[in-house]
Formats: sequence, C-alpha cells, structure tokens
Amino acid sequence: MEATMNEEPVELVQLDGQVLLKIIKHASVEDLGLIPAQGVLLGLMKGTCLEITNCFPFPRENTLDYDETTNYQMDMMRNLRNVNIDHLHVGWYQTTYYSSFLNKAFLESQYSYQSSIGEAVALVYDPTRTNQRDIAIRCFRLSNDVMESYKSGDISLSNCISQGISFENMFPEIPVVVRNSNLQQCLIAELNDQEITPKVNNKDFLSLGTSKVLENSVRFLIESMDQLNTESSKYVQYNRNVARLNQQKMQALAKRQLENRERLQRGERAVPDDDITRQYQPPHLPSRLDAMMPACQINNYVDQINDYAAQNYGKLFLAESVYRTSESDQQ
Amino acid sequence: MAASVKLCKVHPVVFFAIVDSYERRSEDSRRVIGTLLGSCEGGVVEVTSSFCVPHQESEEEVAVDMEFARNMYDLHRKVDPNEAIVGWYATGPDVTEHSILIHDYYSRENRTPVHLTVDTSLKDAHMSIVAYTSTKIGVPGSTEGTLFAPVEVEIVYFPPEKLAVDMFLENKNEQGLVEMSSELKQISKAASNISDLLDVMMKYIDDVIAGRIASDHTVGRTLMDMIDSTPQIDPDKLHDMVTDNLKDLLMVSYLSSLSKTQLAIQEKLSNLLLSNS
Repeated sequence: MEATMNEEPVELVQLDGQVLLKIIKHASVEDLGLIPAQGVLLGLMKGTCLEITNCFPFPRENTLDYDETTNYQMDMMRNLRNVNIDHLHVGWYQTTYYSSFLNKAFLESQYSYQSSIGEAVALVYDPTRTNQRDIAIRCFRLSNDVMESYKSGDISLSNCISQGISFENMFPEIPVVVRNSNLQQCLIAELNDQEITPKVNNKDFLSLGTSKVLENSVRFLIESMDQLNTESSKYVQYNRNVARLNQQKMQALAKRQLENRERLQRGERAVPDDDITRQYQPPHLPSRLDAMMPACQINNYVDQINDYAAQNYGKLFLAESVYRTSESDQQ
Repeated sequence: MAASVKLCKVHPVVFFAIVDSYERRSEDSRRVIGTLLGSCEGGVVEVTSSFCVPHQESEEEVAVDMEFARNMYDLHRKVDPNEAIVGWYATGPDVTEHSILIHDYYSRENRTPVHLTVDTSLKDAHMSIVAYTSTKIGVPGSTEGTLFAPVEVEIVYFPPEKLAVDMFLENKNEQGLVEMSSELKQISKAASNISDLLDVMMKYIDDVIAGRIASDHTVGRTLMDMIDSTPQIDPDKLHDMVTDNLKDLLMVSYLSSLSKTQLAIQEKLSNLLLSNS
C-alpha cells in the first residue's frame, strides 16, 4: 500500500468486537508493569473509514530479537491469509498505564508505520481507566505536518511555527466505533442469556472512592511537568550559551582584525578568520520534539483528569441527593 | 486413567473468534474447525484463545492441515508460553463421524482434548454451545466406539471483557454500531439501572405484603442485610464529606487546567520570541 497523503485519510475507525476482546485479553493476561503490551492490527480501508478486523499480539521484546520478531510477524500474516483473515497491516496497538503513552518511542513507532502505510493508526487501550464503566480505547495518528517535519529531520522552533505544529495538534484523535456482524449479535444475545450472575461492575462504578485514581493521575502529571521543566531550562541554557559564545567570537574576531591591521602595516599577509569561526562552534540545539512530547502528555493527562472529575461531580451529587431524600423521608 | 474433564470454562473472545472464522470460511466448506488454547487444572479446563485451522471435508474423507496447526501453536506460544492445546472446536449443530478422526489427531497433543461445538446454523433459533469429551465405549476386544459425552460449559470473563460484552449489547446507535459513551451518560445509565432494580424490589415487597407471592425467609434476610449495610451518617457529617470530596476534585481540576493554560502561554511566548529575534 503506498502512502497516500490525502487531506484526512482516516476519519473513523471501526473495530470488530473480536479485536477489542483480543486486545483486552492480551492486556489482562500479560503482566503489565510499565512495559506496554503491543500488537499488530489488520484490516481494510473502506472510503474514509478504517475497518480493523483482526489483530495479533507481539511477543515480549526481551524474549526475541529483531530478526525473530519480523519472522514471527511474517509467519503470522501468512498463516492468517490461509484462513481468509485480512492480512493487510493497518496499524498497531499498545496498552498503557494511566495514559502515559505519549513518549518518543510511541512517536517513532507511529512514524515508521505511517510512513510505510499511509492509513496506519495507533490504538491505545488503558486498562487502568477501564475499571469504571467504559472501555478506554482511543485511536491516534500523526498529523501530516508532523510526519513531514520528522522526515526532514528539521524539528526546530521556526519550522514548527511555520507548519503550525503545536502540542495540541500533533496527535489527532480519531473516533472509534465497534461493529459486530449479525451472527455475532446472536452470539452476544446467547452469552447474555447464559449468564445468571448480576452485573458486577455497577457496584464499583458508583462508589465514591476517588483518591487513588486522582493521586496517580496527579503524580504522572507532576512527572511530565518535571520533564517539561528540564527541557525548557535546557533551552534557556542553550540560548545563554549561544549568546555568550557569540560574544566571545566577536571579541576574538575584533582582536584578529586588530592583529591583521598591524600585520598589513608591517607588510605581512592577513590571517584569515576561518580558524576562529571553527573554534567557536555553536552548541547543539536542543530538540524541539523533546520539549513538545511532555507538553502533549500533559495535555492528555489534564483532559483526562477533567473528565474524571466531571464524572465524579455527578456521582457525588447523586449520592448526596439520595441521602437527602432518605433523610427527609425518615423525618 | 487420565483425569477426566468436569468443567469447561470459556472466555468470550474464543466465541467471537470462532464466529468470525466461520464467517470467513471458504465457499465450499460447510463448517470450520480450529484449535483451542488454554490451561487445564484438575478437571477444569479454561479456554482463553483459539485459532482457525484450514481443513477439507467431504462425504468420505477429511483432511486437516496439522502442519499449519503446529506452526500457529508455536507462534502463539512465543507470546504466551503458558498456553497449551486443550482441545478443538467445530461450528455446526452436531458431532459427525469425521469429528472422531479429528479428535484423534488432537488426542496426540493432549490426552483429554475437549471438543467444543458452536451452532452457527442457529438450529432452534438458538446458538447452542456444547462441549464434549470422548470416552471409549463398547466391549473390549470386539466392537468399540467413541462416545462424546457433554461437559458443562461456563463462560468466564476478565472484568474488562464483561464490560465490553455488555457495552456491545447496550450502546448501539442508529447504524447498529457501538459507540463509546460519554462520562455523564454512563452515570445516568448506572442511576437508571439502580432505579430499575429498586422498582423490581419494591414490586416484590409489595406483592409479598399483599399476599400475592409466598414470602421467602432467605430473601427477607438478604433484604434486611442490605438495608442494614447502608451507613447511618449524621446529615451534617455527610454534607461535610461530600463537600470535602468535591473540593478535592475541584482543586485538582483547577490545577490541571492551570497547567494547560501555562503550556499554551509558553508556546505563545516562544513563538513571539522567535518572531522578534
């Protein structure tokens, strides 16, 4: 598949129920820790809608090296083709912990996928947020501007401004819907009939214990802030260094010019300035990308905290009104 | 004697994969078969994953691509070394004679493989799911046969799996697609769920009091337990607790929005600096 860079190649992502369940199973079975569980998504493009029909997990990185991983992938895809499963690579998925996935590794993986397959998407599943009532699965791509900048390697500030890249639009999110075929709907109805146990999750959902989630979210937020802080101080330091260096260079050049004038007076050849310029090389410009990633991440955390807080206001008001009515009934 | 299988626990992801492979079968096959992976402990088999195996089946003979099956199993084992072959599945309402042969193949991998059938043809308007183990019957030395004895199937879920399946059932929009619901919608749904449950309970209690339904001591006791378990809190204290919690949330959301504004300001400033210099 060539990379077609049309305006918005993917506007909607349609998952098969099966894919969602497989991702959940992979995340539940692997011992998460902080190493994300990853895998490959397979499917088809249909107009502007990307249909993801199957997926398979990647083995853990420390058990296989690079060659074996590619072999594994090739073998898997070949076998799936034999049973008529879509074998077209359309993206990858990753699990994450409190949504802390926006880092350089993520960017690089998505970049390599998206450069070879124009419609590649990254699905992120967050099992820590799924303890409530919702499956936290989100889908991201890299915006075209970011792709081009990353490819050209020019991620300086001026380039970012001219392209209009800011931390807000680096990773546009794409809405996700889940589709189940008719036969699978029958299956779901069957499963629903069979189970007699009441829905357990409701009990936990309306509980008012918010401190753990809040604590963790804020802790991650603070970490990202620290990162951003280091990056910005690096940039300030760089600026200071450049200024000082320029000053020193000016001084050296002036001295050299004086020298040259004296030499000319004495009738000797002027010494060129090249060695001075070579001596005072500017320091390495800190990568703008390193500063933008924590900014993106912070943005993400903030949105999540606000959503979580909004949900909990609702719960609190509900609880309070229930108690109020019961109190007024008792009196 | 091999340990006999008493219970078969299956995760829903397996069923979805089975239905999907049935839908993708090639035109000339009427049913699909595949391998079941999972773990076996005591007499309980837990099936966590599956994959489809190509096979050809005609009136007289059946051919299964065992090489493929072994290959796929090795690949799966790289991801999760704890998964073992615990049996095989077939779609379709019945167990046929060919199933015996296939079951023999799988007996070489696992001593007591479980055979799972999922009725995708929807006989009796019902997708019946049955699991079997095989035992030898007959007179030793003379005619022998294999009996497929049904085993109880229990559907087990990881908690997020349960959420997913419930969501598939409930959150359908107009086109039949399932959307992720927003946070407040979830709360209103949970609240209406509880309200419905309370209605059911109230109706039952009214019926018992009016004598329409015979009273049941265990239900009465559970109701008593439930009512006792609601904590008796002084209304002022409750109000304080609620406001404290509310204040925490407000503070955190204020601080986080503040950091977002900070980020935006930082961007603006650096843009300005650059355009000036």
